[in-house]
Amino acid sequence: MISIENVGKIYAPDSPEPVQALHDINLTVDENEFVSLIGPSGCGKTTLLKCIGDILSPTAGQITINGSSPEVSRKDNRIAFFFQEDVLLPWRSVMENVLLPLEIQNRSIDQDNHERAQEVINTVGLQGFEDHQPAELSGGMRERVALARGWVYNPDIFLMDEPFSALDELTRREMNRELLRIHAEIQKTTVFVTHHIPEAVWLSDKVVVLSPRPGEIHDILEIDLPRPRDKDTRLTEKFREYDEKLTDMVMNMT
Amino acid sequence: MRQLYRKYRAPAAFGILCLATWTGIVKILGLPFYVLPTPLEIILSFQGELTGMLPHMRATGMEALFGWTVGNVVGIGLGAAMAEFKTLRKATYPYVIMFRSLPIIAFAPLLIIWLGINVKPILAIATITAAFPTLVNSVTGFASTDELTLELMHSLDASRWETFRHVKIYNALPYIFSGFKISVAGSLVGAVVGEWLVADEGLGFLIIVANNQIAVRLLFRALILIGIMAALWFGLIMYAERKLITWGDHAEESQ
Repeated sequence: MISIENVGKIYAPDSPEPVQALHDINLTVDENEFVSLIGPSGCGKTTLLKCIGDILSPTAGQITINGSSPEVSRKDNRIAFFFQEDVLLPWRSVMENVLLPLEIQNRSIDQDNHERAQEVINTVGLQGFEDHQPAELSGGMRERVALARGWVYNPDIFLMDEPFSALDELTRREMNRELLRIHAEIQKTTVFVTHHIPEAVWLSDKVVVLSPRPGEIHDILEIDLPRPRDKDTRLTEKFREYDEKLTDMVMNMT
Repeated sequence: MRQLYRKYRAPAAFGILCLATWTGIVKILGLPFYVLPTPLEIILSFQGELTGMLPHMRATGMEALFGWTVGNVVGIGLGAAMAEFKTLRKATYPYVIMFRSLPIIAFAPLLIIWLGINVKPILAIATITAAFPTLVNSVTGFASTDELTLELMHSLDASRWETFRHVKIYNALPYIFSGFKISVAGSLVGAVVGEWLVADEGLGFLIIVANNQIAVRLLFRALILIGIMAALWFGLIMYAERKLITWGDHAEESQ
């Protein structure tokens, strides 16, 4: 469970023009819940995610992850952060990329690590590509490697910062479906930043709409669509209603 | 074979054209061989002279190789330190750039005063001229690691050394190789100029001797041997680069 209380973030607080990126954010993400953060650019959604992941520090308020601070959680390898790009190391093969977190955490690699990495690679559908270099893979496949790398050390929470934004629409759909499947299987508490509203509706239990300058929570919408979800979910009346409601909300803000 | 032909026909044709023009000018103006020999005369003059030149080639090669090796080790080491420690970089980098823009060769007489009339100042000059391109390149290479990759390593709680070992070294490699290539010319220039000043052997020494005797063919022979050495050396580095950097991320030549 992630609990965010009165969190604020000011960039360059000592400069003549400090920027209030986040103001008084209160949010709870329950165990195994999938929560999306959406909002126009500059609403602070990535800043909030990076504060949860201890890549940035909030200037006000408190964040706890299963009772611990973000810093402790990060150092205990309880968090997997996924970036806007796949950030694969191009000089490492698929297998070596997936092994990277284990190599750093265990200081060495043994047979168990290899088995674990293989299992994760199989689950994301990349068996047979272990020895390929990232440059040989398509964008969707690279993103699967990034998923496997984040998941291989079995963290408690996934923090995803527009992970599919570099992909074309069809590949994005495919990765959304993949993420639905994997999330159903492994049940991770997930915070997902996106500006793609249908993606947020399809994947989430809860969509948090942020408004810009300063970044504040505008509204929180529970997505009451039954799981498991599939492509038919996108055709339902309810899906369209959520999509339109959120689109109106974000559009009226700017 | 066909591909080879396609790849090399343009440069080969241009080379032949240049040599022909050269020969033509010599013939038309009736220049004597002690002013400008034809390319053929130069090649033929190797006859009976090559064996005597090999020890000189070896001397220059060893000096340049020494300078290249030491210069690159120092360049990479300082480059990594400067990239890793921001304060050090801020304090020293402007001076590195300033020094690099100076003609290092101009310091040679000073080095001779300090190190004596022997091979030491030659080695020092070759080392310094080789070090700077690699230093500047490796600072860029180590420091230009992608911000998101650094955030990834932070999120994985990687130590500074792990980030350096797993990411920064690889990121710097193409830049370092670029420095390796540039410093081939640097160390050879350093060795040859050093020999002009203090040596009693080496191709640089032969150039001075040839100059005093107006032995233009000898001068050209020395230049050709320097060129052959540089080309082989450069080719070897390019080969190693292609074998080692398999992820298709060759840095742009920065000079």
